[in-house]
Amino acid sequence: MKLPFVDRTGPPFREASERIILRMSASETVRPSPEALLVEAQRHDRGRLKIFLGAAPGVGKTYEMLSVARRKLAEGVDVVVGIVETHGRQETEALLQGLPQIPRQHIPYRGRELDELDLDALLARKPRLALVDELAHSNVPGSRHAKRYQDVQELLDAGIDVYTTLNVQHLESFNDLVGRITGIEIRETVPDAVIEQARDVELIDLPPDDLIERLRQGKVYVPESARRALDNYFSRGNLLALRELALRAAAERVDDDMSTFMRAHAIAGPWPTRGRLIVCIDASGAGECLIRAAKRLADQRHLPWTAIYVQTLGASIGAAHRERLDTNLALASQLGAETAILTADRVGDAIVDYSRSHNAAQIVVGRTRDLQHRFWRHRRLAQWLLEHATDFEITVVADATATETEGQRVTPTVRSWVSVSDALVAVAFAAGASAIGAALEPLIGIDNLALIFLLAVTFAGAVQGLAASLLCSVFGFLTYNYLFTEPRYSLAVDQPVDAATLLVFLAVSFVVGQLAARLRRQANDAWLGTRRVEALFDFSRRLATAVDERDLVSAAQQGMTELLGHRCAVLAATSDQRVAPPLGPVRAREFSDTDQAAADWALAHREPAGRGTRTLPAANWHFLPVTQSDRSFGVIGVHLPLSTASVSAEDSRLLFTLQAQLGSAWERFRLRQLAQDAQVRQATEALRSALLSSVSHDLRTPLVSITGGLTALRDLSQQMPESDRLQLLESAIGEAQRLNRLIQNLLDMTRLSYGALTLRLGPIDVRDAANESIARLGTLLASYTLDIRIPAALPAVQADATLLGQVLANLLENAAKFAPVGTTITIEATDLGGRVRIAVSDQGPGIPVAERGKVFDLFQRALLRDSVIAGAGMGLSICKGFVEAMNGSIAVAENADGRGTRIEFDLPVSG
Amino acid sequence: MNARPRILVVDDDEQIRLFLRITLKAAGYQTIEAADGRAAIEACTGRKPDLVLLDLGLPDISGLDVIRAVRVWTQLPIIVLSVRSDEADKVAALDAGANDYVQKPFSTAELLARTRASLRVYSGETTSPVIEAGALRIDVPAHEVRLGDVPIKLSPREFELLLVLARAAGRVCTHRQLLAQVWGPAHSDDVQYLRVYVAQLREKLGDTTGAPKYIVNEPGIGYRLAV
Repeated sequence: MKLPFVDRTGPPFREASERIILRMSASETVRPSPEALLVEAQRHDRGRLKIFLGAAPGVGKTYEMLSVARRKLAEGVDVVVGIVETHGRQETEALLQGLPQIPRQHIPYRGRELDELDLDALLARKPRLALVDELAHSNVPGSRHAKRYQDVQELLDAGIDVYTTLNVQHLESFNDLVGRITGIEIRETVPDAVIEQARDVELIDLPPDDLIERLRQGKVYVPESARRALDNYFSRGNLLALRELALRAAAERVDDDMSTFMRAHAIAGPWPTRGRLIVCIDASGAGECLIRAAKRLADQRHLPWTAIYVQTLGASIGAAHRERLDTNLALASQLGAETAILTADRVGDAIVDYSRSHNAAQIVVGRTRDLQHRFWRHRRLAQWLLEHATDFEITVVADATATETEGQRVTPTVRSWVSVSDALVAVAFAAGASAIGAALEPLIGIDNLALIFLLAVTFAGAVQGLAASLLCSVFGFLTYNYLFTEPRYSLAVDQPVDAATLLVFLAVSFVVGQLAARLRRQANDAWLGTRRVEALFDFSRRLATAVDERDLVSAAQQGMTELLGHRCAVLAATSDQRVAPPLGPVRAREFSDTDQAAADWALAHREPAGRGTRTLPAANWHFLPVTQSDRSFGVIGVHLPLSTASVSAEDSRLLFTLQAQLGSAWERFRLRQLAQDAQVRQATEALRSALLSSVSHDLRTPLVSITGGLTALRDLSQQMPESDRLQLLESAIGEAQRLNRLIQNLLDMTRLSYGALTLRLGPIDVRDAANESIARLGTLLASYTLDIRIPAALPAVQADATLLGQVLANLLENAAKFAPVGTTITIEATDLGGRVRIAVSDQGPGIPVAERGKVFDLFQRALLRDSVIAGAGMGLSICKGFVEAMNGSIAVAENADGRGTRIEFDLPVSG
Repeated sequence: MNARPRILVVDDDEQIRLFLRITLKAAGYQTIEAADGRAAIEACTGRKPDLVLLDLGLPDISGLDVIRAVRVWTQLPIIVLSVRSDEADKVAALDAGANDYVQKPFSTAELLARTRASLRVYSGETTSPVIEAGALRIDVPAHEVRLGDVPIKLSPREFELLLVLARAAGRVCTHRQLLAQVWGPAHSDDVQYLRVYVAQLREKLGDTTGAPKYIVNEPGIGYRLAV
């Protein structure tokens, strides 16, 4: 019946604010506004109004009010019913039974007698709490007040607490809106100020469907006269809207409370109602319990939450603790918390600072958690927070495992208590002080010599630490006593002042030593921190400079190996979601099947596996998956020596950080790869369409002459001389042959690109091949001078006759295409010993040096489209394919005179 | 105009030039030739051709550039010869100022018909008050259209559209050209208007069979009044 909403905005808030009010009034440093304080004070003197707010009749306001009243009565509160309308409802009437009631007064009105609240009787009775149903009710004319809420005001003024009920449509500011939503004008309204005055507003919420059901069952009182109108009123849409309004009204009330409170306490806004929940975790076993409790609280309040751990400067904790801390942090982040590790001198201050800067509303802390204790005191963190973190709601969680918890009792790691160097420093300083003391004694007098020793103690502490300082104070005292106090040259202490001197020495050395030790620890920590940061920075720099994935993997591998001191391998995931075996320095026998299985498992389950884990612990490697944005890229493997059972907690944390860095670098590469692939695809697409249009150009061009020539012969042969007719026929035949060659080329190219080329290699005489190609080209070469320079002694080449013929024909055709008519085309063959080089050169325009590498490119002609070079592309790319298929190579070369085009290819000698 | 109109043939393929030379000569034209765009522009200025047959795919500059350059100073008719199946190229050429296009490979008869149509437009025959296209007879001053002996009633807009097509009879008019001339430049993209009016015109001309006799559709390019 009630929403959880009620629980969150009602009483709990009240308690919280009262707690804070108490604190604030004790404080002298804030100066609240007087008006706001008056409002606050009035709340205390007047009767308190509690409104049971509902969205519509029938949600159960009266029922709830009576239930609460009965509980109050049971608690011994003086409760009296002023007026409650049961509308004949049995459940409500049952609740009314046993509650003391003031008889209603009967007011005559237009010949009838109507029941009204007997205000005077109620005032006279002056109960602690009065129940007055239906706040929006209009009194019968002749009553003291026109409206019931005015009666209620009077009761409140008299210091009587009042419970009342109200439907949201009666609120003045909502009235208009409700009228528009429901189409029903509501005349009875209550000023908003009344609800603002209310000490408490409890929202009685009932889902519309339930309400409609109740209405259907006749459980809601509806006067007969209004029944038809109300049928419309109780439509689901209307009810949803009204419910929304009621929720809003209640929520606004809460915001009002907040701003009143802020004004009253001179807190400058804005103050977002939502905050953050901070849970302070430690390395204890109780952490899990605490984290789960924090999770529940955060969920209840819909707050984001952060688990923080404060590492104290200079303190280090054992490996077992470290591991448990890591587990706790992992658990927290698994449950949706952000996690943070703070490094600070004081745990409490760090928590409060962090909470304040992160707009925290609530701090959750374990009961048993110890604050780092100084030597003179020892306190619970919870206790400290309750006293100092007063602007936060502190929740102290009892932990079930308190007895077994070890707490974060932070003790500095103690090196062996006294070292030789401590003793030497102590003796040296004491001896120095004695020497100086002896020298200065005539000048400053014996009484002041103690100061010199004090100085020595201080220096010893500053230089070497607590132990040296304490030792120095003992040595110093002994020497001082022996050398300078009466009786001299004895250690006897006969005056109390000497004892006091010793005590002072000891105290000073203790304090100085502590300070010095802390200072050194801090410096040490800072140094270590810097080292670590540098190493990490170096690692990320290496990852950033990697040029490809392979480079990235090897950079990461190397960086991790250096940082961890164990051999590390980064294993990329293969396309079938397995792990590729390691690259580089890792040898196969060091990577067993078990290791492979562990690596695969780690990748598949995104959890560590192998040595030091519960999965395949027999492996030689510890594997950690590299994940980023829900993708696994591979695993990091750490090769552990047989003596090491698992990766240390410290390394494990470092490994996690490295993993995260590697993951994001890896993702970057993948994304870049995707972008590149897309670009290549796009370019390929463009090339393909260019190629298509180019091929269609080449195929149609000969057809233009053929079709045109033949149709001209058909239509116009009478008008043209015989020579022209012959020329047209010749041209058509030539073009038909050209078309045939083109088609041959296309077929060849298809064979090449589909790998369907079958070679019939055998010894071929180059001269024969050349002659055959020249014959095949027919009249094409007629207007050129052919210079064939093939030595008679040239060995036969190992080639496919058809392919070689096609290569030569293509080269010759190109030459004829580009070289001016009447020039010379040369075919040359040279024995290179084992290979034969064949060159075809012409005296045409030549190919610019920059283009030479590209002319064999299948797409080159496509790119050039219709330019002069255009027609050459397909032929040349076929030449390249054929020559390479015959184990040869082809290239553009330079003619001796530097002009024209020269294409050279070589083939192996047969046999 | 000369007794034998002079035609400039621009194509980089020698065999095509050969066939055009022979064909045009047989049909009674003089020819001059250019193998690339620059030579073509030069020939247009220096040798005063009466018509240009222009290949769009030239080795140096594109045929489109040639059209634009030539149109700077002369309205001499240009027929584009294109093997491109890309409609956009043809529309671009026509909008740049080409008068018509012939798609390669083409028959001699088709080429000669287009050539005649373009030469006729250029020689100013169509500015006569009466335009005849086949059985269609348009009396421009009288706003009267007859199909054979039957008078056809056309709305002013329909008449205007038919007139534009008839003045270019035998040549293609791009959608853009038709829209700009009949509806004004602001409507040059509203191809839908054109479809509606062409359909109405065909209806009135009794041209509703599958293959239109008078207003021929050039898919993706425009319309042509067949002669």
